[in-house]
Amino acid sequence: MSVKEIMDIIREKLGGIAEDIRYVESAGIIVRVKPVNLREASHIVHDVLDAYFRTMMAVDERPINNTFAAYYVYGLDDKGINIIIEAHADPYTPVLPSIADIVPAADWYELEAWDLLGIKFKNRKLHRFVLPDDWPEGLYPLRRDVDYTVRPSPRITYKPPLQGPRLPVGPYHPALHEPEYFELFVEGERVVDVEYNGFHVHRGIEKLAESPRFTYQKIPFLAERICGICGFVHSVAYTLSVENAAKIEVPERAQYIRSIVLEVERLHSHLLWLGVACHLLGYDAGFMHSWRIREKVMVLAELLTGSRKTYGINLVGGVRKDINMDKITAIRNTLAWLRSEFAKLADLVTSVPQIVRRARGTGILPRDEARKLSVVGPVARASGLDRDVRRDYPYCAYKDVSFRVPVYTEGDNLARVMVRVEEIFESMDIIDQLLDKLPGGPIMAEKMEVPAGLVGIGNVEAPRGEDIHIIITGRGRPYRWRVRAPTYQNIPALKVMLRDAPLADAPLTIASIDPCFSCTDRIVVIDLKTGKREKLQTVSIPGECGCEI
Amino acid sequence: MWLAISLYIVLILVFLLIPPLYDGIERKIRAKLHSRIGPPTPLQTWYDILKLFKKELVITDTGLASVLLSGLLMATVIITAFTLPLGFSTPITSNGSSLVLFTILLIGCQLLWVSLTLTPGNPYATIGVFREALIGMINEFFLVMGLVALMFYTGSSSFDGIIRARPSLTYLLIFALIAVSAFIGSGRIPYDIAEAEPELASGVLIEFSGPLLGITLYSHYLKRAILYGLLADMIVLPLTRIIGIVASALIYPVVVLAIWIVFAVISVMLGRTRVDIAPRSMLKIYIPLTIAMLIAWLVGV
Repeated sequence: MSVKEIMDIIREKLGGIAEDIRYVESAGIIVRVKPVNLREASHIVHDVLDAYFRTMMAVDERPINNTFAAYYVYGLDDKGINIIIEAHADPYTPVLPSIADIVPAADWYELEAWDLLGIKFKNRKLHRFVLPDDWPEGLYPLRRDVDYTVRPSPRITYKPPLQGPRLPVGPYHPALHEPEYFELFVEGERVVDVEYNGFHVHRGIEKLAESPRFTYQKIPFLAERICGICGFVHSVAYTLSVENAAKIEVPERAQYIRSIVLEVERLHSHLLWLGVACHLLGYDAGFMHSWRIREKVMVLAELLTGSRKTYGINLVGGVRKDINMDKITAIRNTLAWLRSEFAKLADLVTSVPQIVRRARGTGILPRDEARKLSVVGPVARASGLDRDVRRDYPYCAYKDVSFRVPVYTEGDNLARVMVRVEEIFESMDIIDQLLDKLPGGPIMAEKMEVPAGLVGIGNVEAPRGEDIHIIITGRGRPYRWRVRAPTYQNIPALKVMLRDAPLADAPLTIASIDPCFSCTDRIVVIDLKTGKREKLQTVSIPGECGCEI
Repeated sequence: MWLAISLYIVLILVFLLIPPLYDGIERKIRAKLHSRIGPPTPLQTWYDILKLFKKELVITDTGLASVLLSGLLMATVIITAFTLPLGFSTPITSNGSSLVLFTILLIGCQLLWVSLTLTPGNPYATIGVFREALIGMINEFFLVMGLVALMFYTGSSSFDGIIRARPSLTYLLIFALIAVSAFIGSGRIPYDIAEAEPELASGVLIEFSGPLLGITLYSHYLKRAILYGLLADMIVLPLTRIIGIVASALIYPVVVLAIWIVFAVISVMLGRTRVDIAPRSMLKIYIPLTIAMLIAWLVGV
């Protein structure tokens, strides 16, 4: 179906309530509606057109048009096109109607927009979400008039002690390898409810990128530090968003190199995850051997990029390191070894009775719940949603390779294991194809200019799922850079997956979404005389492993 | 007589010292199977325990009970070790009721372990201790059944009865029954769900540190050695008639180590079970084994 045909459908469905409908090649079809019509437009796009909710970017556009704006990005996966609903709120008392009851996946985005920009959402409960409890009221850090150097004094807060039969999992817990906090409400060994308390380590990276310290070409290195596991994914998603917005022609060879490194990153990430899953199930032999195999992938990454992780080879317009024949031979040799070793490991892991019995039928995410929450990546594919950004919204060199997207319908932990196991084999095939077709030529664009006021979307299929970055270009650096990591989209599904599950499977279920938490800390000060605890926000320091922005 | 007493004194001292060493050897073997290096020396578990003893004692509000019970547990486990023949008959183990005494003390160790781990009141520990109690109830039942069967089979409530035991299918099945309960009772994967690090953060051990953890770990390793020592006795004691007590005494620690390693390798190949699956999987092993044992006995093979 052509863009024009899709535009016609959108005009037919939304024409009555839209103020403006336009197509922007770098982003999608943008439909501007009045706040009063936002709910109806959301219902039509989400429920009638059956589009997935991908992300939402709230922006302080007061310096541009004297409004606060919200861009809700939906995706028609089967057509590979985005529908963006744009709504503007009053600059003095910004209020928009909540759509969380229509689009459950939008719940967190509204809370975040309230927390960071002070946009109120009607008919829903708003509470502190990203910022720490002691952050001053009325100070919204993503507003343009708040300088990125602001370090406010913490306000004194009091939280009543927890009551009832709760079992804390976090913020430091052997099952979670990063600081995050789940409160499990248990009856005996059965989890009856779960509360999530995240963003312990919010680093303010989006705000930092808007600061004079950064330029378009410096931000790929900042983006790569969003996550210590899939950092290159963020770097590529950012550069794609800028390149799409500014229509920068990236050389084909650079596109191939990016794709190869992205797949190497997926191999390392999935092998890491498989090891962790084995460890959580008490099968340490699987854990160790998975990481033994992963080590070769890390060595390969070092050969290709100079670093085992945080590769630092990506720039707007191309890459900094080329691949020569020696490297191609090394990749092929590693892949041959990896295929044989991983096939043995996969057979072994999936034949251990305790792993199969504990993973099968646990942590179930039914297809309809997965659809409502627009979950992404292996979590979606294990619940019967056939989604993969590499195929649905092709980028880099993925349009030139063929691969299978493994989809399971069971929605349980075993299905998520199997999806990742199969994806490892698919990744190896993809790298082989890319090496076969690797074109010659330069690796950096010759001409690059990024005018202000453009919108661009960059999406990458990270090992954990779709990673999507939106950018509004500014002068020398982004006016607004919105990052949405896959874990952000998948964590809300844990409430469904953990409910009524055995306590013993809670760590595996939490791990099964391959969560990625950030790693800068907050300090807890305890007054020894009164026993009172106060939390303080530390200075934002980009960390090395972790993913929430 | 004096030879037996001298051998016994040497061997009991060795027996009390080797469990952490065997654990160290296990760690090295496990590391080899995992394709990693593991601890620098097989003595590492001993070094760990000694270091724990050097640390300060940090206890919870109910720490006094923990300290008292841990002391009582260690004393009981050591006394149980004294009641075990170490590959040959001793004045203690040749007593007419030595096997009964051993069984009672072994159950006492398990009860004390559960009581000790219940003392901290930590939610992780509480969940862990209930798991331990559930597994323990089923396992102890079949362990006692195996020991009673052994008494009936040898016609004696003394360990000396085992010396006279003839190899048969029934004896082998009794050995298998006791071996399974020793494996499960020693808290190995897949049945280490009371500790189950990922969900319970070390579960029953979570509040123990310093000397208290040192005592608890040593008692745990010694109890493990006693269970494997019982199996070793079922192998070595009948041989004393042929090879004599000196040879039996010499091969006894080797047989205990062999059993220790076999169990360690089995646990490396498995994952951790779940509290609702564990009883079913245990009964799936125990019930057919018990029935086979009874049939073999009735048939007389």
